[in-house]
Amino acid sequence: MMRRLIAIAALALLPAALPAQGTREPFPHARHAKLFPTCTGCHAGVPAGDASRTFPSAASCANCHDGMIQPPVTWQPPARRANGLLTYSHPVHVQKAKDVACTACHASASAAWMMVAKAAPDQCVACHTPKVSAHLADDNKCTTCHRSLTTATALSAERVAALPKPPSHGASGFASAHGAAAKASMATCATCHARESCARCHVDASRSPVIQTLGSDARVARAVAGKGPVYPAPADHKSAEFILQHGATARFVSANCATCHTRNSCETCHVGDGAKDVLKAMPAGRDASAPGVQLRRAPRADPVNPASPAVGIVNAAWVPQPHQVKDSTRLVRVHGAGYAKAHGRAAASGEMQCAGCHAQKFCADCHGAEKATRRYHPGNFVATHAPQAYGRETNCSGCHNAQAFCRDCHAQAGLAVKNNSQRSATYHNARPQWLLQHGRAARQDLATCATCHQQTYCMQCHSQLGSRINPHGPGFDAARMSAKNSQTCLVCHFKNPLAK
Amino acid sequence: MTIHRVAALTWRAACVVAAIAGAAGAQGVRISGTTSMQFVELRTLVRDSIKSSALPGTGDWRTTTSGVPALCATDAIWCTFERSGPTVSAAPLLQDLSVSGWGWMEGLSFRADVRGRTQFGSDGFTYPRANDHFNVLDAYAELERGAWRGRLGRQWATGGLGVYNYDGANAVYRYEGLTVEGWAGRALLAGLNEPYTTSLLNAIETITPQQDGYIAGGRARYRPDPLTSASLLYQRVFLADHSGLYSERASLDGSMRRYGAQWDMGLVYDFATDDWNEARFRVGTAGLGPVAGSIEYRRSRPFFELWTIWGAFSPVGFDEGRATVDWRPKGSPLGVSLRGAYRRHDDPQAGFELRTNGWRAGGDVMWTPSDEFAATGSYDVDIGSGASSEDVRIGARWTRPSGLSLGGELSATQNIYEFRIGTGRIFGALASASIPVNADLRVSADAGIYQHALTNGAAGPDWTQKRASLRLEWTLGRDPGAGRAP
Repeated sequence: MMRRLIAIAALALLPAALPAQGTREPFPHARHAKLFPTCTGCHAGVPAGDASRTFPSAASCANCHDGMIQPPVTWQPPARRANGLLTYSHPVHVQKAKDVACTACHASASAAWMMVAKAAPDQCVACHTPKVSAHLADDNKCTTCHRSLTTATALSAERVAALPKPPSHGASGFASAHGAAAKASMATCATCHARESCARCHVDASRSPVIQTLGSDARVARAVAGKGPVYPAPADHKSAEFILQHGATARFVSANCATCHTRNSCETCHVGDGAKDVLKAMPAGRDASAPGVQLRRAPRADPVNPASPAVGIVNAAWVPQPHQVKDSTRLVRVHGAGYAKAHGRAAASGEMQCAGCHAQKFCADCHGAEKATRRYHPGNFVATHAPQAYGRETNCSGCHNAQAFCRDCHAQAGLAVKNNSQRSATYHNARPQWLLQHGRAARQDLATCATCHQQTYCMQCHSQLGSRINPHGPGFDAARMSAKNSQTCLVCHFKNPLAK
Repeated sequence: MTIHRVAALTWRAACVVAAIAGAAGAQGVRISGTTSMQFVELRTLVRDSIKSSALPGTGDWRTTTSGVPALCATDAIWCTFERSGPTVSAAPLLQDLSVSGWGWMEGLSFRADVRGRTQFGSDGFTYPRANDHFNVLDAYAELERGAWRGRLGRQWATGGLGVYNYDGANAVYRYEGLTVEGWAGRALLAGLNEPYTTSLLNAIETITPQQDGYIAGGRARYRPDPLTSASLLYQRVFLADHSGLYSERASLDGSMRRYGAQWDMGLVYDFATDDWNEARFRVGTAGLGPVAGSIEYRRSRPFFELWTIWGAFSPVGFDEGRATVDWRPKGSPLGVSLRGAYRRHDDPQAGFELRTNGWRAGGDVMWTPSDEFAATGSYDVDIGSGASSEDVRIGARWTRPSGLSLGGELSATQNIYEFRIGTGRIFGALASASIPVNADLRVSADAGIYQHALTNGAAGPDWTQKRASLRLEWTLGRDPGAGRAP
């Protein structure tokens, strides 16, 4: 075991000790296999951590490469490089694993002498975290061997950009689920990431205490520049219930929302009177390079005509180039088709907090009796409204004043009674026996009678002024009505019939 | 009053509000408006006369040679009947202006919605309220402070009783899931937004309210979790001299999503008549699989305010059962909905020989292969006391991500009136378009033609008519909720 550790140590040290790869030719160990029987012959300082003797001097090459025995060479020992990404210490490993040979880490088991190479990270893992499946596995602990990227100042921007990506980071769902792991161990993230990594997507990067534990790094900023943000919809956002439930989530953990959304997102819909306290907790604007999830209202369409899309919100695809938001333009239906006709129950009970998204004027656009911005009834409703009015499928008086709206139109169309003496053959099926039927019709559909007839029309018979025919039904509670408004009685009665 | 006068009035009102907001140092003022214009045609029904000797038969009730019922008074020389009159038209214009201002101090804002009306053309048809040229729909100041919210001015009370407009004060207190609200002030007539003593009523009703009404109401709403809510509302409208009430009602509404179902109930009680105006109990599946359904019981009895005598005529209610079934597999562009209902009136204990039940059935088919295109078809039949109809529609709409929308609809309707002669079919075609010119301006228009054809030899008026509307929606000023680029 200790041999392996030492071998790992030796191999690990090599890349750390070398300057950037490709700028100098590495020492050809294999060609010197017959010359050097030990590693410490040249790397005498490694076990003790003596940097001055970690590599042989160039002059020692000239012992052979003097131009006579061997041609001269220009090899130079690599410059000592501190602050790499590794926190590895050869002396510690040598002390703790005295019987582990250098080749345990720097050569494969079947390699010939001096066929050495850099220590592979998996060999570190094999000893330090043997239960971990791989070097870049999620359950590995990066800080065992690595320092944070921002302190690894020796790494070039190119090497930072080329740092390997753990397989888990490419898995679906990682982007929306990585927050919990980050909170649990931000030091792990800090091995490869800086604030700029997070600010690529997180609109609240400068306010997030978790992200602020990371340092800032220009190399990372350069590496992420030009990369578009990723805003996959979290699993709960895809639920049909989300529209109903997101308010509670936003109220209690608005910081979660602020990861991708600014207050602007909320105000896309929440232009009404509600949810103001929740909106206050959201960041007013983005303060990072991230564009954030941008929402916009879907084109407003006819809510009655089911052939049109419901009012909804979509992720906007307009984010300026070069950013391209992924997983965008998804239509979210806040209200389903036909909701305009069924909204009453949800509005009355508070199931939907209408005021969160709508100003009162929105209600008044329809309930104010006049169509201003939206179409509630189909185009030829004037020709089809009678059955709905009789069956009270829709409560006409919820929006219209029966006298001012219905009767006014009926009168002008020639449908309403113009004066109390008017009789017509066209109405009530031209039946002479209508007089005997009308009582039943009136009690069943009195509201529709009132759209053509004034009260005085009925009072011709049903009042003390007229024929004194009693219009009250068997269950009529005269005392109750009189107690509420005795003046109503006096419209038909000369004096209050209940007065003693 | 001309269009210029209406425009000037509404614009002046908006300017005054905006100026007040500006002078007060508001940090934001937003003005939005909708200009809505319609073209409406109406075929009037006019009374005509014919010599009684020209009509076959005897007695008061006869029929013309063309099958039109005529009324002949005993021993009169002339009989009267109704026929289609000239086609009249109106082009009403609505100009809505909404002004909101904020930023004076924390939580303080102001909002006003005003409406101007007029109409073009004057061939005998005045669109309802077109001569009521100016209205303030609402205008209130609002102060939001933590759990409290207060409003002062003209505003709306909305809830299980419907939508009421009033001039007064409103206060809301919120504590976690509980919201308590109270309001009071001068009441305005529902659906008219005018005081009870408005002259608008005098023009069409002889017996009108003699006093202003004052409203007082309160509501408690409890929402223990996002899936459960209940609301209790009480409201009365009383006479200015406190001698009586125009109305006194209460509503209780509840909603809950539990056990994979959506449970809803709604009750409206009228204290004046000791009756339930509405009672609804509904249970529906809440998104379980591709098939959803609901069943509902409803009791409905009309409500009349006490300034009318209608409540004393003992109107009866009906009990109704409803059911719906929806089929829409996840990811499928096809969806089918079916619905049906049956109602039976209480015994009116008056008159005889009249239908006391009714039923309706219908279905929709919707095909939405993409967010941009949708096509639908629907069929509905409604048979009941008073009137019956059968209606078929097919429509399609194409909506571009830019907001450009084009749609069309064909319809065929058959009406059968129990209380009026006029059985016939109406074939219609409607085209609509909507174009967002820019983020602050949107134009919508539609136009349709409806051809009336009498059927089964029925006599009656011709309802052939054309319809069109044009809407202009525009916004000025900063929009706090436009979702624009940060």
